[in-house]
Amino acid sequence: MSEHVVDPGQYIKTWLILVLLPLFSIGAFLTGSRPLAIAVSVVIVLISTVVAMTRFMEIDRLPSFISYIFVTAVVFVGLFFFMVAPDVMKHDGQHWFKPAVQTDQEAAPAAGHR
Amino acid sequence: MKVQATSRTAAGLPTGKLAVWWVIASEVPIFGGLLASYLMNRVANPGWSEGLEHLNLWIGAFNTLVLISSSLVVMLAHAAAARGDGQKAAARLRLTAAGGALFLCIKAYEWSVKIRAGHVPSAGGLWQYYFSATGLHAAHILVGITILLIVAAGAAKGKELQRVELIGLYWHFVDVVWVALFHLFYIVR
Repeated sequence: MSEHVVDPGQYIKTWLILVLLPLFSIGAFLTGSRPLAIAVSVVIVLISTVVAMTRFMEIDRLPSFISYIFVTAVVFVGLFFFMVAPDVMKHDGQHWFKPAVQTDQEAAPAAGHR
Repeated sequence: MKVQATSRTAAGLPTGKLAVWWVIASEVPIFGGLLASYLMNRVANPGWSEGLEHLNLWIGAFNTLVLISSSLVVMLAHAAAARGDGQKAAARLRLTAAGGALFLCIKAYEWSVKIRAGHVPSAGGLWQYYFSATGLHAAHILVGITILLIVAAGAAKGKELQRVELIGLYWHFVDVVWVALFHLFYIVR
């Protein structure tokens, strides 16, 4: 059992914050602006994660190495994304190409002759 | 004599809590890798995610409310366990499990609607990601429900009350993952 005092009132406040946060994302979505929805969603997901981890999971009360382990796992995901994404954006590379893109390029001149 | 290790001096944490945090940290690349791949596909192929318009925002929002509320209930179970009230902790853990079951029922309904409409995994990469991510998450909910009920059975007898906090940690993580999935699939279309 944990040594610190648990406060149900704080948990209810945290729940309220976590319930209210997605409403901002939903509001942004309902405006019909995709860039706004993306921006608000990124912010809300980050805030929700931090709120849940600090106030429900109480990571800030744990030894700091727990935070380092968690951050390391997130960094691995970031490395995966940012090291692979640039290649995914290309149409071809060493020993590979996107068949769909090549088919489109072949079809374009043929359509021009018609 | 039966000896059970309950804490590690070097880590300064109860063993169970350390183990749960290791599990959570190892889950991050699993969900993170899947979602990062999904994001790459979306960024590289404009128009690829148009099928997301078929998802019902309000079903996703309601499921978000259900999971966040179940996270509160598991915290209240933790508060009861901290006071040594195993009976109340057990009741709240069972209520949390019921919340998880409700979430799964709604998700199953949503899947059945999508499948009937022909949005099956073989219909395209988007639906493969949708069913993989939400399916993997649903599997975690199912595991969570099972553990919640096992811990509740012990707590009702006043045994192993420290486990209430541990299953709570796992449940919050599953909650956080759902918030990310909800935004990726239902909000950012």
